[in-house]
Amino acid sequence: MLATITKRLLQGLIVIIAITVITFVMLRLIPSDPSRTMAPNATEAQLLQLKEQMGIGDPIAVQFAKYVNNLFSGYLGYSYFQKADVVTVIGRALPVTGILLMFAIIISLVFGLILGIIAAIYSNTWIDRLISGFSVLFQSMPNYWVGIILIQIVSVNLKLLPSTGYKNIRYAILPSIVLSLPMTAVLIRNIRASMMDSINQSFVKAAKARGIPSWSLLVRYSFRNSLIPVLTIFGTQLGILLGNSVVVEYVFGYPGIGMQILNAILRRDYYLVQGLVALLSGVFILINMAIDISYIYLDPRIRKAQGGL
Amino acid sequence: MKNTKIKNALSFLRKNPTFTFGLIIILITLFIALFANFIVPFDPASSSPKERLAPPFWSSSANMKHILGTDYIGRDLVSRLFMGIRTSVIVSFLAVGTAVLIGMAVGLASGLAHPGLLDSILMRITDIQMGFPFIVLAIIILTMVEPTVASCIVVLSLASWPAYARVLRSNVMIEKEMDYVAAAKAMGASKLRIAVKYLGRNFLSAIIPVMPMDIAGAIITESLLSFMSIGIQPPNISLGNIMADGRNYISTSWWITAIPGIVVMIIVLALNLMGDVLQKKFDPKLNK
Repeated sequence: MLATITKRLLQGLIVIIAITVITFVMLRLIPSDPSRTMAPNATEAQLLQLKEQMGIGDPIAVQFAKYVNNLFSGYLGYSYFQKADVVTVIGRALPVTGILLMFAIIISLVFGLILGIIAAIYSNTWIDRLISGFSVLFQSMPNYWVGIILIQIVSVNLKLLPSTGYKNIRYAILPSIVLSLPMTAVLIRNIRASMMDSINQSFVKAAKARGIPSWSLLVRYSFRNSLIPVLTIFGTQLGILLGNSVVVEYVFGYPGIGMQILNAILRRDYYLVQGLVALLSGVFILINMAIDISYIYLDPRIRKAQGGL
Repeated sequence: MKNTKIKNALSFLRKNPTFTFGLIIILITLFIALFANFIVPFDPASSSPKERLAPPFWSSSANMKHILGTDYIGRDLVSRLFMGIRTSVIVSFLAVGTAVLIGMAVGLASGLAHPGLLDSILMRITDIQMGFPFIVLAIIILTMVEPTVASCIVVLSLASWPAYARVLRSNVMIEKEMDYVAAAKAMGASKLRIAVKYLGRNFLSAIIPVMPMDIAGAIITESLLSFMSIGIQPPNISLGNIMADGRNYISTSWWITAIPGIVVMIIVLALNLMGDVLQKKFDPKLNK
């Protein structure tokens, strides 16, 4: 087990390094000059000096060598548009995105579990059809579009919640509801399906034959058994949630990691983009790794195929 | 022979009303996409300043010439939606087609070379692709190259090729150990022939159920990128840039933004319904 995890961690590290290199080169291939954006009216000589200050004056290979050298001393570079170290900018944006993600995950889990179980209990009645119907619908709505429409209805027309920016926790409510919708829908459908699956399994039937009341049957037998597949779905959805958060932050002008990364790309804030991409893909890869390891851990067949624990 | 096939298909459609419902919507979508040029009631690009922001049919002051009203320079919304659907269909279908082709090439090469250096390299490239947050990669590439229809297709194909590559690779790894492949080899069949004729045949049943969902994802992402004005550029019309145009007038003319989103939702819903049924049909666990 430990060997598998170490191997996966090393592979993950290699992937992050590769992604950093690719981002580094791609950013510098964008046909536009950030020093020009910084100082539109500067002379050529002034631009050269500015480039030197921004750390983008040297050839790409030299820039890269310096960047890697700095990385080893823990320095991620300087964001010249925000006039702050990349680490500082990330430190400011991270908690804002953290709140958004946390809210969205809590909303999804609570509503996903409750509605999924209700749909399974009342399967093939109008309650189930209503819940399942809405979850397919919510899964099919473009997330950003839901955001635009809700801003208009909830913030502009009803004036219930603030729509853009971030000053306090109230600003996170609407974006996290939007962000949670697709995940909630997927969880409802999967919890329902996996409950239905386990209801038909022999140990549940046996419990039923022993006269255990149907409510406790559902919760104690079916539900517990249906958590395993749901756990892995949850992991996959976390990755998707992370990607969606970039989009939702864009629509709501919500100043978290996603907003920072978009602005940084559009302004060619090279070092900030690199730091943020490495961070995002690192989290991405860790989530995927956790899913794989939980598979190995939960399923004895895969455990065996991997050469035991 | 042919009759039973048609009969089977019909009974499948009758047993799966949600699939049939999805299929009908997709057929209508494809019809609009194919014939958009001929069925648009107005020239989607011609503006008429006198009729700007005309309300849709349910409003009492509606001009019945423009059923869904007009945009901020008086262009007919129905015509623009038809052209937008056309763009969505072209971009998403070609993007997923490209992804399948890339995935097939990588998966075949990788599976045949397993275990070996080429396999390791190709799989690490797949890992890198999957570890890169897609939306960020898409935005970087589309600011790097000129955002044309072709570059949008290529960028969107990056989202789904690794999954196809992995499926085909594991297929090939299992199949190439089978006796019939050894027999074909003994008879002197070339590597390429074995790859295409024998190893690719199980691939279809593995990819057909995921394709509708991937197309749906591509439609949503295309409209998103165009909404952010880094995807399809005017004068090309996309459902996303209709929404972007409409957002400035959302307080007074909300339908310009709302309707393209509903169109996207209906198409994606249809694809999801079809994908659900296909996944159940092709899932060997459920078919026992």
